[in-house]
Amino acid sequence: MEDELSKIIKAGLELGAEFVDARIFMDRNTLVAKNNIEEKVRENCFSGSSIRVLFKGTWGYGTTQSTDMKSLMTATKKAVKFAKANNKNNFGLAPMKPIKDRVENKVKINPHDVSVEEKVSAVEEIFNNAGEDEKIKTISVSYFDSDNKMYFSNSEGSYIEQNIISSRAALSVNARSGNKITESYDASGGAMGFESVKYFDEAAIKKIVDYAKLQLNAAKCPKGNITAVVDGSVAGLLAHESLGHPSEADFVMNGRSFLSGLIGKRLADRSVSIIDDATVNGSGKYFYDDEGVRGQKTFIIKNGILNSYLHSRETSSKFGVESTGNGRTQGIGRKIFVRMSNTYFDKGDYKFDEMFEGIKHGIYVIKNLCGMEDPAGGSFYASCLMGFLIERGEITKPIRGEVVLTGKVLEILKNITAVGDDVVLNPGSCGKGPEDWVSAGTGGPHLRIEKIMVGGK
Amino acid sequence: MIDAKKIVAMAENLGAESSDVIISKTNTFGSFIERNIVTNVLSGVSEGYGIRVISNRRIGFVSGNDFSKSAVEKAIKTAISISKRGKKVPRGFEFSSSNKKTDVKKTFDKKISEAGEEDVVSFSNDFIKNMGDANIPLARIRFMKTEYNISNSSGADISDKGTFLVLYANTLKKSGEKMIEYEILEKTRMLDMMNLDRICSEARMHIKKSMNTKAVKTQKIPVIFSPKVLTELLITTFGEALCSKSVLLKNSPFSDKINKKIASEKFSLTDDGTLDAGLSTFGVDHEGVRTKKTVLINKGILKNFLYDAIDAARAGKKSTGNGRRGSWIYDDLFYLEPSAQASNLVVAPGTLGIDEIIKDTRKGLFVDKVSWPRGSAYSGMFSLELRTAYMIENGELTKPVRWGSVIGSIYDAIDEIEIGKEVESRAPYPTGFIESVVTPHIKFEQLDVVSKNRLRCNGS
Repeated sequence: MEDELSKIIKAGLELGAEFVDARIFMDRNTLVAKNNIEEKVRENCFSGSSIRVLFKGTWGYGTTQSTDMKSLMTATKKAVKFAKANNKNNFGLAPMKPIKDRVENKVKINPHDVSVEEKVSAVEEIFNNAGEDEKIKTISVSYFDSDNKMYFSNSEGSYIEQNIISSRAALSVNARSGNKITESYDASGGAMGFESVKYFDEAAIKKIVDYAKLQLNAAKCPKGNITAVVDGSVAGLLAHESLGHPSEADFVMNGRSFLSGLIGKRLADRSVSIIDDATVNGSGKYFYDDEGVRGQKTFIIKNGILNSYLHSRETSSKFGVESTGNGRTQGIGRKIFVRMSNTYFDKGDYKFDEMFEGIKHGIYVIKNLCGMEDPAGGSFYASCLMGFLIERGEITKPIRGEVVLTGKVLEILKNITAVGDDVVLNPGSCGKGPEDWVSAGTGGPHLRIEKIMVGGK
Repeated sequence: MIDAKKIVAMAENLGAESSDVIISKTNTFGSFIERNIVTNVLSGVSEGYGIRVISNRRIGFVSGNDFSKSAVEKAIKTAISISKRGKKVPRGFEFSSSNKKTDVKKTFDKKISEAGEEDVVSFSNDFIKNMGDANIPLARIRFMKTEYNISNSSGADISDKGTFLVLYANTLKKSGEKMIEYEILEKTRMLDMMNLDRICSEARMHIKKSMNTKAVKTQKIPVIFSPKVLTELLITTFGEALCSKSVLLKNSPFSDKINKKIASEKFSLTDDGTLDAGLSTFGVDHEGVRTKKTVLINKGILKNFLYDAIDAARAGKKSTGNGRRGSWIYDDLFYLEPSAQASNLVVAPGTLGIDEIIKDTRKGLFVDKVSWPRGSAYSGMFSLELRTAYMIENGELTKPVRWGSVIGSIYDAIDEIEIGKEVESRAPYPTGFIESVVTPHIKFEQLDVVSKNRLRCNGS
C-alpha cells in the first residue's frame, strides 16, 4: 500500500494542498448471537479510503469505498476541491517527526484460528448455562470479533501499517415475575481475541443471573442526596463522561468546556487520578491514532490536579503542546476529532470492605448502562443497572434498577473520599454528539462519593 | 457492477435454497462548523450488499462492499456455510414476492440529492448567520441521498430512495461566568422544510431565557414534555415494547394485552410508514414488503404489534412492513439483517394548544430538553436529567431550572394526560435509532421531580 498512498500524497500536494494524509481501512468482523427465539451468524467485510488535505488552513476530505488508484485519485481531487471551496481558516498542525512502522497487537487466541462452529458452540454454552434458572425468561448472548487494518501515510513522510484485533462477548438476561421484568448484563472484551468468551465462567454467569433475580423483589431506589459506593464500571462512566469529554481539547478550544482555564488547579483529593491510555488492552487500544501519532498514556487528573487536555495535532498546534495521540475517526468519510481511548480512574489504596466503613445510610451502585456528557454545563448523568442499600457500613438489601446518578461534576469530584485498589476495564463505544462512534474503554476501581444525587427508574 | 438480482441468481447456483439481497448506496455531502466558521467539507459514499441465504431452512447473513465477482461469490459461500449454524426459519416463512410499493410523498428532494459543496457551504453560512451572536462551537450538516434495491428468490426486485437533511449543532452564549448551551437536532426530507429562521429563533430564545437558571426543587407536580423529550422516550418504551421481538421474547409488558386498556383514552399511537415527508417513510421496507399504517393504541386500547417477515411467520401473522435496517443516517442499510422496528410513531393530537395547556397549569414544570430522554421498555420507567426547563406558575412559564431529574413510569403516567394539538416530526438523538416520532407536547398530571434542593414545605 505504501506506493499507492505515496502517489496519492504526491497528487494532493501537486494540486496545491499544503498537507495531505491518507488512510486505507480494511475491516473484517464476525458476530454470533443467540436469544430464546433466534440464532444469528453474521460476517462483514469492508474496505475504504479517506484522504484529508489542508489548503490555506482549511480541511477537505475525500473518501471512497474502493482502494484502487483511480478511485483514490478522484477522492484526492475532491478533497482539494472541497478545501478550496470553503472559507479561509487558520488551522495548523503540531510538528511531528516522520514515522515508519508496522504494528499489530498480540492476542491469546486469534479469532481467525477459531471456526464459526466453535464460536457458535461457545455462545450456545453460555446461553445454556444461563438458562438453568426458571425465573430467567430471556437470555441473549453475543460474541463479536474484528480484525481492523489501517494503512496510513502523510506528506511529512510517515507510513504506518497497524493491525488491531479486538473482540467482545456479552450476556444479558431478563427475569420475570408477573408483570415485573428485570434485566442484568455483563460484557467482556477489548484488544483481545477469542479469549473474551472465557470470562463467562459459571461464577460470572451466576452473578448476572442473581442480579436479575434479586431485582424482582428489590426495594425501589431511594431518591435524594446520598453517599454512594460505585463499582469500577460506574467509575469508568464517570471518568469518561464527566472528565474525559470536557478534557477533549477541541471542546476547550471552541469554548465549550467547563475545564477551560483550570489546568494546574486542584479538582479533587490527591488520591484521585484519571488517565486516558491507548496503550492498555481495552476497547480503545491503538498503537497510532488516525493522524499517525503514537497512542499514549495521559494523566487528565494527576493526584487531584487537572493535568492535561486530550489533543489531536490540530488542537495541540493551537495550544502549543504536543499531540497526546487522540486524533481519531469513526472511519471512512468521517472527520478526525479529539477522542478518548481507554479512560479510567487510577487505583487507590482502599480495600473493598474499607470502602463501606462509616457509611450509616448509603447505596452501593453497580454496572453502568449509559451516560451523557455535558462539557459546557458541567453536569453528569449516569444510568446504572441496580444497587444495594448500605446500612451501618454493611451491604444489605438489593435496590431495583435503573439507578440514576446525577450532579455537578466539580462537586462530585470533590466528594470522592475513597478510591479502591481494584481497577477494572470495560469495553464500550463513544459518540461525539449523536454520531461518529469509536470504540473506547472505560474503567476504574470502586469509588466512594459523598452526597451524590440519586434517582431511580 | 453486480446488481441484487444477479447476486440472488449466483446464490441459487451456489446451492442456496433461497436468498434475499439488499444493495444500498448513501451519498453524503457534509460540513462542519466550528467557532462560527465552516472548517471542513466532506463527501462520502457508503455502498454495500447484504446477503441473507436460507439453506436447509437455516439462515446465514453476510455483508460487504467489494463488488468484484470473486468477492461476492466468496461472500455467498460464507453465508451458506454459516447458515448451517443459524437458527431454523419458522414454518410458513417466505421472502416477499410482491413488487409493489406504497406511493409516498415528499421523501425525495432533488435540491438535496443534487447539492454540491457550494450548496452545503451556503446552507452552513445561512445557519451561522441565523444564529446571530450565539457561539457555535460545533455543528454538522449532512445532505444525504439513500437508494436501495432488494431482490429475492421469490421474484421480488424492488427499489426505493429518499433524501435527508440533518442539522446537529451545539450553540451557546457566555455572560460573565455563565455559559448556557442549547443543542439543536433537526432532520427533514426536503430542503425547504428545514426552517432555519424558526429553529435558530427558538434556540436563541431558550439561550436567552436560561441565563438565570436556578436549581429545581424536589416536588411532585404536573410536567409537560416537549416533542424533543417525547421522541426518544416513546421510541425506547412503547416503540420497543410493541415490536415483535419484545413480544415474542415476552420482554414486553404488553405481550398479552391486545384489546386491553393500557393508556388514557386521550392517547392513540399509530405506526405510519407511509406518512408524507415522514422521517422514516419509504414505499417499501428493507426486506421488500410494502409499508403501511398500523394502529398500535386506539384511545388507550392496545390493538396491534409491529412485525418483520420472520417474526410475523413465528407469530402466525403478516408482516406490517416494519422489517427495517440501519441507523438514522441510513449509511449502513446493507450492514444489518432486517428486524421489526417502528417507522414513524404518530401520536394523535389533542384539541388544546400548548399555550392553553400551560395556561391551565397553576403550578408545573415545562421540560424542553433533558440529557438523554430514554426509558425502559420493560417497565416504562425513566429518570430524565433536566437540561432546558422552566417552572410554570399561574399559567405562565417563569424561571428556568435544572440540576434535577424527572422520575416516573410512562406506562403509569400515560393514564392521566393532556395532549397538545401542534405536532412536531422529530428524530431521536443518538445513532442506532432508525425510528422517528410525530407528537405534540404531552402534559403528565403528576411526576416526581428530584433535586438536591428540597421544598421548604410540601416536599416529598
